[in-house]
Amino acid sequence: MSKKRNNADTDKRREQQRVFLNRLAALTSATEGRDQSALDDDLRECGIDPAELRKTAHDRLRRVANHNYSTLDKETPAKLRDFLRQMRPPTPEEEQRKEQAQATSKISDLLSSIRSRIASTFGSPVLPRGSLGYSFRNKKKELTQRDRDLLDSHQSEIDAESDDDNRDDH
Amino acid sequence: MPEVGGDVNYEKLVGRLTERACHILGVVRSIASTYVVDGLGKSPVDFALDVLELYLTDKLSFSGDEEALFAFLAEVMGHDILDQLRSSARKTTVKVSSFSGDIQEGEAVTTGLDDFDSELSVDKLVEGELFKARLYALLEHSEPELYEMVYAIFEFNVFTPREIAEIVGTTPSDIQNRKKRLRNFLAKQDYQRSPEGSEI
Repeated sequence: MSKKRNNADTDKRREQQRVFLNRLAALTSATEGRDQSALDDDLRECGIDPAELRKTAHDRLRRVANHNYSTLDKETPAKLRDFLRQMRPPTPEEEQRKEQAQATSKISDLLSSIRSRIASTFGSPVLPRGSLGYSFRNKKKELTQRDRDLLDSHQSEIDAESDDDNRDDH
Repeated sequence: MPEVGGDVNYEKLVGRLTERACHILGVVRSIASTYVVDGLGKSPVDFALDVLELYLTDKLSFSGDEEALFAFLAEVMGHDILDQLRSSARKTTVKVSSFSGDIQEGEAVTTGLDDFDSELSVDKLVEGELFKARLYALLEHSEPELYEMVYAIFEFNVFTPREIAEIVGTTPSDIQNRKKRLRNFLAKQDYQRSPEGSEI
């Protein structure tokens, strides 16, 4: 009788805990599709250093693998092997390669940002080329005296420059 | 259901479990009247790795995708945290610290022990009424948007962002933003508390 009541109490407590945990998850859980960097930011907000966490996790589970399996000549469970393989800290060579790749990427980003700034500063603005010509071409009969004078003055300027160039060449 | 194995992103899983442990302990510390982590001698990372170790060494079996695996391990871990908050080891640790100081003449040795109601607080918290009452009191006047989200969760028993958003009359992404604000709010409440765990 007493055992039955204890079981009922335990079940009731479990159910209360389950509801409590579900509510708490509903109150605080983050978006499911977060990427690793967003998760890292959220961990930092909790006061956890992601790199340190990775190292702590690997060290602890490696000890478990050594102590409970390797030293007893037992086969390490497949999931534990996978975990250790994934979470293994990089070797010095891998670390160096990673740093080099990061440096290359930074330099590449810097160069492309410089290129784009130069292009935006010195690049010629996009003009509606030909629109002037087309408007004159299509309105030949509608040219005013002012338009004709303007065209004549431009033409004479171009001719004069052309004469100067020819003289310089000779 | 396929057994999850080599395709699990363990770095992410460890991070998410640790984050969830931080939230559970953070809420308990913010809402209850005790400062739990010192008494337990365990950090959120320890709780996350405890449950992960059980899974990786085949002491917990599970079949399903990675998201379901996280939900399963988070629930096991949550029960573990709450069970351990009630543990006698923790109560003993707290009692020992009460005896460690100098006792003045005439002062009762057990001063303060009768006031220590950690087990009661955790039980009350889990029952929901204390949890709800403290959150309402914290948020009702200072954070009305967070209050209406908490109200929807407690009074309408809705858990997903979409369900909560429907009750509140907003979008699921706004609910995610509010949750982030709530996490920050609770974290600040926690930081404002003294190490002895005085009331908020």
